[in-house]
Amino acid sequence: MRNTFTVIVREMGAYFRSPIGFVVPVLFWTISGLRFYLDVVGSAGALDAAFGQLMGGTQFWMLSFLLIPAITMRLIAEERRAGTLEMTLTAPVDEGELVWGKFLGALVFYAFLWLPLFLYIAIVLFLGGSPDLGRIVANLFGVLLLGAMFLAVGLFCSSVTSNQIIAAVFTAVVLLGISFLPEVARLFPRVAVVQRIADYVSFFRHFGEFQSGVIDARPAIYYLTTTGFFLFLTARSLEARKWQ
Amino acid sequence: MIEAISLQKRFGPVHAVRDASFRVEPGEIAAFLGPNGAGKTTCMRILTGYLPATGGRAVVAGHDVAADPRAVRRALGYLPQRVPLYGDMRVREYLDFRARLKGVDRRERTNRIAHVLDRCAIVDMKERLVGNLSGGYQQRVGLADALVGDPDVLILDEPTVGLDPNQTVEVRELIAELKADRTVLLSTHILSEAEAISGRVIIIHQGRVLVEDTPEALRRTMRSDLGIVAEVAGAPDPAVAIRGIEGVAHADATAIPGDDGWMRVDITPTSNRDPREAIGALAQREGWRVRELHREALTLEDIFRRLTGDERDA
Repeated sequence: MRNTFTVIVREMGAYFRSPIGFVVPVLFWTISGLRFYLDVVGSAGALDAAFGQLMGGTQFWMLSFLLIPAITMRLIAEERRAGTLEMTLTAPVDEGELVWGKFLGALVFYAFLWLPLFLYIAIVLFLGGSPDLGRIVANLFGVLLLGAMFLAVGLFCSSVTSNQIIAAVFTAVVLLGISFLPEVARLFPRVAVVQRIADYVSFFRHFGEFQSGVIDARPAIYYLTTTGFFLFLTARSLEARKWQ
Repeated sequence: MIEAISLQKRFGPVHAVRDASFRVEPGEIAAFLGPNGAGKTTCMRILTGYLPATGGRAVVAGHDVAADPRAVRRALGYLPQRVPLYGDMRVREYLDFRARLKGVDRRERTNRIAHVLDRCAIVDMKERLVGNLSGGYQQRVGLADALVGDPDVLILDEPTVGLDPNQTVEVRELIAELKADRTVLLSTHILSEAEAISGRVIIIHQGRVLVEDTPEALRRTMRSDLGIVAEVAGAPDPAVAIRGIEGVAHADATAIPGDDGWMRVDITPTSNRDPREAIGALAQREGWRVRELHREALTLEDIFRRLTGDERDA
């Protein structure tokens, strides 16, 4: 527990010491801020649509597929490359604590990207609008759960290579792969169960519930179990050195 | 205390460690000596719990490495080969991070860090980025890291590799100061280094411990069959005369080309004899001119040749 916290603090620091800690927020804030501005200006009062775009529109998905790998690629691949993993894992720390610490550090950084949301809400209130706060909270909840799952996938991809670029590409491929599954399953129309599994595994459908303002336990459980599954795989991948 | 009982480690078909048993007592510095690929690093990684052994048992600071790795790591300071550090952190910040991981109490942390900074002579570097330091300073940060948890056992993998001669001496002195109340195991592939800093040398070759002894005892047993070289002039047939000396098994003389009148004599002494004094006396009696008379230096290769009885291996 204390070790996990120590790792979180170190990872947070590592983000802001590296160009990632500058480039990712600037890109994210510029693009999503511009999107929001255009939607507010062009919406003629339908301000909720602007929030819907911000937290689930095309830009949102593009940024997620692009920026999540950038956030996670360094986490373990760089430790493998530099050999610091040997340093960390010969201190009284176990693989699970390290994985948790790195994951939570990345999640805090991801949550930090969403800080301007409060500013956007304030602006809309100032303009005399009345944003549907309940729906925004549900959206934010979904965004953070989805982010957690994406980060866990990215962390796992970073743990299987010592090359950051490969880690980033692998992460994007896995995420895109999962998102294509329902369409791939449609190629096998006679096997209904394939379609159902693929639909369940795809993160898009679950995300829709949060977007409509519903906080439901079922999609939350989907994201949390998937996150847990990839974190588990990550810890196993760190232990793999022992079974060679 | 470090104790290894017939450790074995296999990586697929490769037997990195075949049978390694040794013991290092508190207050002692032991050196693992062996060529690259001998299994030194693998042994050390097993002792730190980073890699599990395929067979055998290791006990460090009273804890079984396989059964209680966390207790072992709490009592351990480890410096891996090539000193991997987080280059993006400042020295003080990095040591603080490491001290936290090692469970150093919050109240003691500042003092411990100040102590190891001072001990490793990096006080002036404490606000510098680790990644910007020279190799020698990084090595010292690595040592400071190993020491920050005030461990009973230190395992240092090639602590002087990549250092310039001055830095090497400094690091050796630092390690020698540490031994008072600690168990220190370090590895090296340099014979003179093992002799210089350790009270005991553990020679490892192809995954096996060949011998474990004090440097003096090793030197005594190993030196006996080392060759002697003499360069003389003014002697008609020095080899024949030298062969007549007691304690000389064999002698061969060859003219040194382009060096008028000088001859090089290669002498093999009989076991446990040192006929150098007698050779000198002979030269004086016969009126030879002598410009060199020395015993060949003991090399790691000689030791292996002798211990393994395998000429090809050397």
